Amino acid sequence: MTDAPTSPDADTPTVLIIEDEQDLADLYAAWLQNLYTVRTAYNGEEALTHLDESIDVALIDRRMPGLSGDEVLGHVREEEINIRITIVSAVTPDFDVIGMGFDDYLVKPIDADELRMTVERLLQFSKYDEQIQELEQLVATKTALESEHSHSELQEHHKYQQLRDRIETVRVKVDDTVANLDDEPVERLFHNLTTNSPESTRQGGETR
Amino acid sequence: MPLSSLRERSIRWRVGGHLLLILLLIVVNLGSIGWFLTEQKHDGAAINEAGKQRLLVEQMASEAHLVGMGNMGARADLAADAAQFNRTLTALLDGNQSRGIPPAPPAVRDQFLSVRAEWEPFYIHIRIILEEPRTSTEFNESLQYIAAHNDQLLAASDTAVSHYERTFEKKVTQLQFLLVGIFGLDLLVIPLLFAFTDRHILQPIEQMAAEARTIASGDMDASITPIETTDEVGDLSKSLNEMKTQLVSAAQDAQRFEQAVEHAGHAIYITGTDGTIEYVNPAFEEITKYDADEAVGENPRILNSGQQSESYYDELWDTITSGGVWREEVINKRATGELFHAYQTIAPITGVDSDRAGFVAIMSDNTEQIISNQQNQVLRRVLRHNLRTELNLIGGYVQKLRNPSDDETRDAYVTKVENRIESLVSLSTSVDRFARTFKQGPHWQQELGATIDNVCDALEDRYSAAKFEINTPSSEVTVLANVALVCEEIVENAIEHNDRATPEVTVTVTVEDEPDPPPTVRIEIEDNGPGIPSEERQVIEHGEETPLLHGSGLGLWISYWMVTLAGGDITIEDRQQRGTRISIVLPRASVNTVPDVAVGGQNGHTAANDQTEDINNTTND
Repeated sequence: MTDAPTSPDADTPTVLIIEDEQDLADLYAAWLQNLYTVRTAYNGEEALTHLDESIDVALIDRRMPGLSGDEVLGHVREEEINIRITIVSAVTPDFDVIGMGFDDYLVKPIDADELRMTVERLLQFSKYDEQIQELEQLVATKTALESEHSHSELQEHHKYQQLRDRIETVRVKVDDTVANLDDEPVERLFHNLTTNSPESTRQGGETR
Repeated sequence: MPLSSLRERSIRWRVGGHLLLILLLIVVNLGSIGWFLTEQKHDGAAINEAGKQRLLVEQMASEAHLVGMGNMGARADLAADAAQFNRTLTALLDGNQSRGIPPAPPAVRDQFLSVRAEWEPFYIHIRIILEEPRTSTEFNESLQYIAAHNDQLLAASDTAVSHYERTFEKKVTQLQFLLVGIFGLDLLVIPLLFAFTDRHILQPIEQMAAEARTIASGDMDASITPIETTDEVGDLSKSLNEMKTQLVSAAQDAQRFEQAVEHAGHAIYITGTDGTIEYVNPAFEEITKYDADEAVGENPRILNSGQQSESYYDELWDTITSGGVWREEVINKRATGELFHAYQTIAPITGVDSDRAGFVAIMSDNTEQIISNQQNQVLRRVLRHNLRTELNLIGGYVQKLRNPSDDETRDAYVTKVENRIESLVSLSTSVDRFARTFKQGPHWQQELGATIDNVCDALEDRYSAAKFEINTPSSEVTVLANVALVCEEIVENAIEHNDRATPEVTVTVTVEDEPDPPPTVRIEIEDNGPGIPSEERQVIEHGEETPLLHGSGLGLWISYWMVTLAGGDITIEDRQQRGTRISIVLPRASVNTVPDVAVGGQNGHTAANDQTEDINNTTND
């Protein structure tokens, strides 16, 4: 674990980078360290010792020797630790990602801007209602799948259908809550969540 | 009767006609004999009666004499005799059925008429004697007349009788000729009928029977000579010809199917209802390495690799015995002990009477394809993962290089980028090497001693600090696996990751003669290193593929597959003091699992040595 050299403010959000390729972990840390308090873990076992409420956002690589990223994520959700999590992996999302409970899924290679935007967005979520967080997780899963599979592949998969049904259910619940929110980022988020359907997006995925 | 018209008729009518003809002959025979006998009897009776007339004449003469002497009592006898003579003479002339006397034949009739001519005056005089008083003149005159004409009547009667007898004898002779003639006809007609039957019925049937027998004995080229008649024989000939055509066509169909099965690229075997193998095609022999002789009579479980659960076979059996078709990917074992991936379908086959006749199984050897797929998948995953990670880094470093804070930082990042590029090149080389190795497979045959010596020699050159100890058996042992690759990967791994100043590696090959079949060979590779990390153990013990950045895991993964496919086993244990022992047990190819194929195994052995050379050369390049 490496504490970021510049973490001037105690209120600065903390980001945990879990990545077995040390150079890559250090690169991510370099990209983020001016904005957040950054910690790094080079394997799954090490990551577990740092995963508590003091962490706001965790970046997790899925494939690591020993304890895998999937297992680390499972641990966080099982223990109900309130951390926003994004996967950063070379592995493309398959149907096994359903139910993993990540908030975003980035496929390597990524650049600094993409990483910073993602962390920023996830930090916004942590302020919101649990229902919206769940909705975001579900939509992130759906989006990750849609980026890698054609429309027809998705339609054939019953788990994908279940995922869509669940999104509808949560969305109806959120409808009531969101009426009271007039915060601009939330509206934008909600706008994304409600319009992000497979028919209207990811046309590229269908033609692959 | 014209033969041609007879031929057109059916045999039933012909045989019926023959029988009728014979019946007619019998009737004629019996009739003529009966007639002959009747004639003889009647004529005999007539002659007898005529003979008796003579006696009557003599009696009447003496009775008339007695009456003349005054014996009036003789009158009654005379009257009765005269009446009888008169009746008999009429009967002899005109016939009398009740007395069995035929009318006199024309030749004899004249004689009897002359008897009557004598008799008529004679009879008048008898009546006078009977009616007139003895004293009358007429009486005496009549008495004299009778005495005087008695002899004449007698003579006339005698002449008539003898004439009759002569006529009768002539007639008998004629009748005998007739009978002989009729028998002669019999003797002529019956052989003719037989000859006819023989020629038109028996001979054609015998000929067809002989031809049918030839065909039945398997000579499909033999022909049935067509018989162009409209009768039953013609029908039979036509039907036999049609049957033969059908038979030939069915045999050709069967032959075509047999050829198809024999030349099919997939292994095909047929079992009885109890699962015993009854037929295997050449592709089966090629894929499973079992000869047809060895496989036939066995249960398909000879192919059981032990990789499927017991319930797999129960489920299979349940499916096919209830009429279903079983389709499944399966891992089977060859006679040589190697494993192979097969896609197989097993279906019940039914006989003509819709009873179950057994099962047919079609099996394709997908080993190369499956290995290739798995290898591609793994290579693709490893390549993708590593490429993306490296590119992520290079991208990040390049971004930094855009605005370097100072020259030192810039140089540092340039070095980092260079390192990453080097790493990518090495990854590419590593992937190439494994792709090439698998292209050679999966039919490896290598001799252990020479192969291991070569591999270790090459490694000794590369790692001069390392200490090697090689114990190989003096006898030649061949295995069906790329041992060169497996050994190189494991030994290299043992040296690379060794933290001692002098890495030590011991390779020991033991031929295991104990044997639960199949006979095996054990290769032990021991080192004095720190031990294999748990994640790499997973690779080697279970074939699990983990994201390893440097390709060493790839080598272990490929070793695992190589050993498993060869029907072997690979285990890792920690040595007591320090270090790791990897044990590989492989089936020996030089001794087959089935004892009778020692010759085939021997040939394979020779080929193995040649191939070993090739592979070693490639490896050393």
